[in-house]
Amino acid sequence: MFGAFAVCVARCDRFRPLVTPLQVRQALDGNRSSLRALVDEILPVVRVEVGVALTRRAAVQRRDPRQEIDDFTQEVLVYLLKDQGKLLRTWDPDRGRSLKSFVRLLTRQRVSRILQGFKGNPWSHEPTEPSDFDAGVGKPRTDQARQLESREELRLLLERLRARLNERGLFLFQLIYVEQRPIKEVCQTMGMTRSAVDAWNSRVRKQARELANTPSKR
Amino acid sequence: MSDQSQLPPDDLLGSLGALAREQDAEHPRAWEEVVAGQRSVADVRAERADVDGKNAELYAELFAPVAEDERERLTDLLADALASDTKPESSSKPISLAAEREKRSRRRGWVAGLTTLATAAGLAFWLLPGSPGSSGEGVNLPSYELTVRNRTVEAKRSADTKSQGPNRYHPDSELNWALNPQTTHEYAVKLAVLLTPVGGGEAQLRKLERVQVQQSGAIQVRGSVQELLGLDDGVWDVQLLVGPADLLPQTLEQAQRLVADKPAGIEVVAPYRLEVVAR
Repeated sequence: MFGAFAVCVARCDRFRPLVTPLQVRQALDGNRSSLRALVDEILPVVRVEVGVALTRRAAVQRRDPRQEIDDFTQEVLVYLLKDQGKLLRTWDPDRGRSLKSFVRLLTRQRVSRILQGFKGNPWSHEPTEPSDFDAGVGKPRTDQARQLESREELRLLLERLRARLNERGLFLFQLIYVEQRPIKEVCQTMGMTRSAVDAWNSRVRKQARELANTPSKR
Repeated sequence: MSDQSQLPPDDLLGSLGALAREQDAEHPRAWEEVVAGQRSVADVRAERADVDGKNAELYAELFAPVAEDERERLTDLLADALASDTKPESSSKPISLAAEREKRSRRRGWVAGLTTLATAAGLAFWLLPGSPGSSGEGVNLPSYELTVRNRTVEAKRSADTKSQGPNRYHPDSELNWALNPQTTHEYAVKLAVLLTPVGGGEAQLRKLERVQVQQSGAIQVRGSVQELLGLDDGVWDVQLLVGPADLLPQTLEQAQRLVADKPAGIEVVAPYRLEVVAR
């Protein structure tokens, strides 16, 4: 009986927060042993997330994930710690997400951005002209239809949407559309008002429609 | 045409959410334990044979345990990255692609012999680091990137003259600056500008009310130097402060303090040096 519980403890990260928010802050503040513990905790998450994303893409782009997984993993780790670990410092287990789950989501978004050709800027090196901001909205539904004829197109659309969401949007999308949490709970978790969530929802709907109407670059 | 293609937009997000749930369900978390060295490749491969299918062999290669020396190497690399992040010079110095372009241009001999005012072909690009810090007062802005799209005035006396000074403008030169957030955000932001004369003199604070702020947080600054910045002749450091209206500085002293402290909620863009010259 105890053995079965021990296995569960070992395999379910929600039961065993190996790294606490305090340790994360210590790691980001320069404590090397805490940093090593953080690496041990998040490296497997990042590597598997990267590997899965590259494998999904491999068939389409004929790339070999084995040649890229190390570079992508390293790039994501550096990204997670940039600006003195600004992103990781926002992790709060009281919001219901383990560090691994938190890092998994951020990694998913980061890999999407890299695969979509972003380099940290949603609009790459060209700022968006005012006239471009609403481009694509209201185009005939037939364009959208062509975009979604296959599951692969839908998967690509998901990747493109993820690449364009900011961190808050990423977690809102996860809570509302993936985990299908009640909006009240989403508001509490994210510390947002109902009207702010509604406003975000309206924007992301428009954004998804725009993307569906715009040809993807594979 | 499939039924799926005719979904209204909210159903479109619903479909994307459903696909993400499928991907979550299929996600091979067990392999994380292999990478961590907690389980063997054979164990997890056998356990997930039905789920991983044709990817099983590839996953076994991709997710082999990461060796101790590789973990140490990554830890060192990240420690270096964190340490270099704290050095103000490396984190705040803008990278001028305009200068790089100019070097290329010189190599090609495109600017030989010009003795009059020449126009630089208008795209200077600065990488602007985010301010360090936390969510602070609940506002956690992404870092911003400034792209100068307008033409600047450049003096050249000969092909060999190096023009490494500040970008030059006339009082009536048109500014066209774009400030793009690293990621889109939902805050209603405004822009204030701290103008500091290089070599001494009285600094100025200006709030730019006429800028265009897009829904995504991108900001477009357009107008003449005189109209927007009201600068006298001379060399100036321009620091752009982006943030919600109630967090932006109301006085010059507040602006100078914000630039020094870089508190949460305000993004302070690295200085852009310009020179205003009379016609």
